Amino acid sequence: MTDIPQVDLGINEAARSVVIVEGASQVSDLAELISAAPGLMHPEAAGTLARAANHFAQGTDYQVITDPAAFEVAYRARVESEDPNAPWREGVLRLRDHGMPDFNEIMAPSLSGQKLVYFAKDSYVGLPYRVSVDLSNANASAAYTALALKPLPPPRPAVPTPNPLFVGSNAPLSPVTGDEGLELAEPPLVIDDFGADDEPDEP
Amino acid sequence: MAKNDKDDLAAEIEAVIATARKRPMNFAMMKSKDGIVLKAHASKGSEVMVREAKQAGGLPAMSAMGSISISGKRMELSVLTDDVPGNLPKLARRYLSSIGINFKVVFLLPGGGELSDGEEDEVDEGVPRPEEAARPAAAEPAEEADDGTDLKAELVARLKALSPQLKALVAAAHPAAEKVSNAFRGTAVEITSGSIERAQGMVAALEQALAKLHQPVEEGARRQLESEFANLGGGLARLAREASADAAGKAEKVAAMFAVEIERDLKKSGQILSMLRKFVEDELAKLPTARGPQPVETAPSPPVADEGKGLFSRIKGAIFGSKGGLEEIVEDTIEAASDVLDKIETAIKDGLANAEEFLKDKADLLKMATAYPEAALAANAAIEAFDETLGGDITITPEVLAKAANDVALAKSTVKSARDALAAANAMKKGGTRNKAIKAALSALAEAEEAEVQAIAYEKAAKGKNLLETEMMIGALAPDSPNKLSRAATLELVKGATRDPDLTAVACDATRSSQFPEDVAINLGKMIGHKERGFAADGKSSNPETSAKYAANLIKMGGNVGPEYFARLDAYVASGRQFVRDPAGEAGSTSFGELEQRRTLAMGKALVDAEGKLALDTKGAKDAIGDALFNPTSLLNPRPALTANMLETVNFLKDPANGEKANEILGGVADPTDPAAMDVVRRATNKEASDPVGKGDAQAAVMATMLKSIDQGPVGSCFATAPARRMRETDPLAAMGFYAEIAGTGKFSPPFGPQVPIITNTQPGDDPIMRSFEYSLATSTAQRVGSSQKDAVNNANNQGLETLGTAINAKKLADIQSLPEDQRAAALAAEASAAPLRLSKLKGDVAAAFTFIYDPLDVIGVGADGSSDRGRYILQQISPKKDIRSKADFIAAMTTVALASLGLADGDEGAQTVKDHVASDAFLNAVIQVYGTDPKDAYLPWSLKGGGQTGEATKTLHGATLTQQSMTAEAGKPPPDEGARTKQVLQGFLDGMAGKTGEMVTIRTVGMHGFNALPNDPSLDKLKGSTPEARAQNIEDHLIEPGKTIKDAKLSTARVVDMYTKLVKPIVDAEADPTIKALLQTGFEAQMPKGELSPAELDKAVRDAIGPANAKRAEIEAAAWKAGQTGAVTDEDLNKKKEEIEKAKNDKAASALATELVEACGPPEFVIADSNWGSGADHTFFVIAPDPATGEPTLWTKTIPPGTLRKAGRDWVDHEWAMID
Repeated sequence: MTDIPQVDLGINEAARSVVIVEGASQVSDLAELISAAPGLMHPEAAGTLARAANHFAQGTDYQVITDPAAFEVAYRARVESEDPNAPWREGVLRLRDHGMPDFNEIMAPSLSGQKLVYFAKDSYVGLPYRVSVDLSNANASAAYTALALKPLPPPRPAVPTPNPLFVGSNAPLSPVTGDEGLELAEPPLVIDDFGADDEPDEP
Repeated sequence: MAKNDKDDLAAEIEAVIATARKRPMNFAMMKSKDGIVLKAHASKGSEVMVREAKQAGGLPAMSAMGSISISGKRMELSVLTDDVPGNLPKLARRYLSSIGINFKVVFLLPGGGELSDGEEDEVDEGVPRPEEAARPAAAEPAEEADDGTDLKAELVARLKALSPQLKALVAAAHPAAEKVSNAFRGTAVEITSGSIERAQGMVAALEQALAKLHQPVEEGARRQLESEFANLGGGLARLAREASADAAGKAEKVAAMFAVEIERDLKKSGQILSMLRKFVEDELAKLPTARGPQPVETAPSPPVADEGKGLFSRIKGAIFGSKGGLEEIVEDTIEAASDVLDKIETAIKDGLANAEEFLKDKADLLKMATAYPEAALAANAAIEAFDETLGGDITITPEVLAKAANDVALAKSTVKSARDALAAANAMKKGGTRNKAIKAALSALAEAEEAEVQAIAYEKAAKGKNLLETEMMIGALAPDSPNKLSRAATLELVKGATRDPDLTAVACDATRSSQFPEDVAINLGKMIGHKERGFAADGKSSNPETSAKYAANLIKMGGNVGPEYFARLDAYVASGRQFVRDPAGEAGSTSFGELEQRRTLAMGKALVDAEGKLALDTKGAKDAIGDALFNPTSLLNPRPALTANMLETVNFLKDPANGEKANEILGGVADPTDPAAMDVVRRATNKEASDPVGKGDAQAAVMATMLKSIDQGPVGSCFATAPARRMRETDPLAAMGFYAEIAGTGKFSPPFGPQVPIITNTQPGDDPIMRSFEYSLATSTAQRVGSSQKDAVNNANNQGLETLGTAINAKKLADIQSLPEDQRAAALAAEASAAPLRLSKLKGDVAAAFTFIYDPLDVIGVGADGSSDRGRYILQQISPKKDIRSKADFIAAMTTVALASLGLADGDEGAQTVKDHVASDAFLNAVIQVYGTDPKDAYLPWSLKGGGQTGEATKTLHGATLTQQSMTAEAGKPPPDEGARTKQVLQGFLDGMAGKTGEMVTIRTVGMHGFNALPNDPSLDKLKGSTPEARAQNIEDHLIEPGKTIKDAKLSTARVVDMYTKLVKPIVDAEADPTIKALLQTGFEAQMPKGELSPAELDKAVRDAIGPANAKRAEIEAAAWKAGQTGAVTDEDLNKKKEEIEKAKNDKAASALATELVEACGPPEFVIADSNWGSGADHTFFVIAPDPATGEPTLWTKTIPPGTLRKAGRDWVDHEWAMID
């Protein structure tokens, strides 16, 4: 078992995200952190490093998913609690409106060489993101990419809330059905040849 | 009669006789003071001859018209009706004799009889009329005539020469083909049977008819000129709106001259058109470019009818103005019109004993002439011609119209039976019996068709007269109409009424309810032509019934889309696509969203080639565009706003720079593999859930979305609509980029917000890409706003935590005190270093302990539009989850987090110090006063302010640094009156928008709605100024003062009666309660306007008419309310309820009247904002205009089309108005 340096996440007097190393010093970027706590470059420290990287990059706007299974349980529970037939509504943030991730894709943080990969959820909606950080580049920033979500079965048609302020055409509410087109003019009568009145009738 | 006059008349009639010997001529004969007047012409119609005969002194009451032919010494006058005055033949013969011309005069009646002058008849009885020519014969005349005479041979040759023209007519499915074909056969029969004289007339009639129908060159040229003129409609309309009065007047005058000349001289009309085109182009080039709804000018004071001295001089002045410049090119046109006026003036002076009576009878025409002189002259002639057809100056009542319609139906039924009989006869076995049956059937058919012609002509005259009289009184031809048309346009309407009153009625309606009334009128003639030809193409033509419906739908749609629509129509008709049924596969759509998606998808697909590049000029693209605009199935569910947007988008993409960028975007669309992307593309392209979708599908879906505008519909709502719509309207390619990202990747990455996976829960039928754009923007905004809210609370909390001082290390310091003395210094030093780190950690822990939720239902409890601004952010402790809704909640949560962060248990030493401090004023005030000590700046984490979601969404899409800035503060209590408050809002709006160069600026009525200002709408130009004072003065000059004038200006009696009746009568009719109905009926009759009224007076009349009934109704409803209450209701409560109900009912009626009045008065309108509300059918704007009833500035909504204004309600102006900029 590797000794993983103790780090705490903090905010300094300048309101910047900082990481406190071993309760003794605080650093304000990833390069400084790795320099101050090289033990964080051990693969087993990936979770700690991910928390620090996320803190530097996004503060508390995103939370690192350190336990994918727990995330899946929570995500599914929340989706389950949302009305499957409700229409989208402004101001109401629902995971169901977006869809379900492929939970197999979401892994605990990992460090492979200089590449740190972790998954995070945004703190306000709960949507999952994949983040990768190139630790070899001191200036590299963490890239947050939304995960692909699979739409849930469409809701049964629900009547959205009428807009009480709306002004405009409300009628007719449904289109006229049919493919009404131009009807062709009646063709002219074609009369075969005819002759005198006293012409003998054909039998 | 002087000898010279006599000689001239004799010479004129001898010339007629000479021509009529060779071929029949159209004629009109009238009794005159000297005997008779005879006018005839080989090609001009009988109606024209009637007018000429009247101008020559003929009396219409004693008249006849038809065709004249001469045979030996016999003058044969085949007339159209049986009602030839009995003594007219004798009168004619005597008159002719008096000038040295001796002929027997015989009137051949349509019923087969004849009316002669009573002198010895030298000619065979029963000579058939040319129009009875439809007699059976072989399809081609016999090569060899039985008697072999030269004349017969000549007739055969002449008839054969007509054969190619007839074939061409049949091939083109010309509506007249069948009739001419029958006449051709009949003529051949007459030749074969030896009726040479009769055949001679019939051949001549056929030659004449075919010559008229086959004027390919002339007719083609005429159509071309008419089409080119119609294409100038938009330019003319714009000049009328925006150019100087001088330029607009000149253009209008020349356009009117063209409209007159096109009927007379194609060459000259071509010259006029060239001049007009150049003039319009030159003048348009001088105008600034502008966008937005049409500006509406202050309506000029209605012309006052002048029935006094010098009227005709004034009319002439109105027609001709001062000569010079463009007018000179058509000087002879002027002279011709002047001549007509002189004749009218002479008729009044000499022919009518009571000129005053004449003037009264013609009052509406004369009033019309003050604004539309050419149209008035044409209308006068048309009405007189209608009267001729109607058998006199009859009043057109609904009964007359109903009977005429019934007669037409009957006549059509008879024709159908006759056709059936002919078909049955034709199917008989060959032989004499069949031959006789066919001849009899042909004869019956000819008779039935003749009757049908007469019935149709009668109905047409009745409808035409009714239409013209109505329109010149209160409609499109009335000079006080608020939708003032040009002189050329009104002339087109009058001409239309004479050709096709049904379609012209549709056009007149459209001039009142459409955005492009001028173009409707200018293109009416072209549309009638298409209708008459059955929209013929590729050998097909439609039947009259569907042609009529189609033409009406086209007129209506064109009126709402504009000149380009009419300009494109001819090519579409020529393509024959109008006969393709449902080309977009939209039939059966169950919602308008679905229908619009199918329509735009069909077009979107066609606009992209196999390589995924725009292909806007291919045949497929043209067909698809044409189908969307014109196909009968498309017009079955007209979506004018969508149609206009489609055209606008195609034109936008045709710009090479835009096209190049659009191609880049299309080329960059990813092959959708993301499940959400595939889902929206499948739904956008109407594919099943398991169907594969590829890049091409995504590109087509993106194009379909591009063809729509972003609207907030009647159901559902979204604060993101305002910024999304703004982007689509002002930077379409940026919007297209987002559509492409959504369709290709299933992600949405706004420039100033986090990327989010798209929302796929959109309403069935809606465009999934467009809605996903709006909804996903809302999600990204929520994340961004959550972040900024978090920053705010972190700042506040951090400021509070900074006050902790020794509380943060009280326990540590106490622990140090318990250390041996020699260790204390080092421990204190270590603690001095550790304490700041502990504070950093504490701040971090506090930040991590809280989040935000947004509750849209908070405050008002309705999550509809506007309520988003009523929604509230709520601070929430994450673990344990708890909403922070009070100071106590906040203190408790902060204490818990702080103790945990500091490693203190509740009973630990030092814990109480932390607890005490977090609950202290020092801590709380530091938090609350983070943004200043002014109470209004207080930041209360347990009671956060409402969210400005529109503003936040705007920042996410348009710029994170945008801020909300107040333009007009919320109205105080009590608020000023509505007019004063509206003026304040307008002043604040103009001041706030001063110097803005963009098309749109997002604004809010705070706590109510988010939408987009239109700071550069052309209607606002007059109000702009360099200083607030200048703008205030402009408001006075262009809004306040015109309002005062409009309030007191009288509306014509006809107009106020019409409005009053339209408003009050339906209320009376709909009332079921007999007591209230009686009150309404009494009020309706008592308040019926008896003369001109000002808007304010009309408002009072309406209120007085329905007031007593509303009071009674309120009494009944209040009593019912009382009965339904469980608690006690005092008399005061009851009275209050009654007053509320009564006021609501009176206000409802007043509001309906306001809409009518504002349409009738045409006050100046200032378009300030786009509401977001709309659909494929229309879009709604906010407009400030005077209320005609009070003259006070008022905020209205204006829905386009048809341009209806409704009072927005004062709640709107009382809110704070702010912009996000």
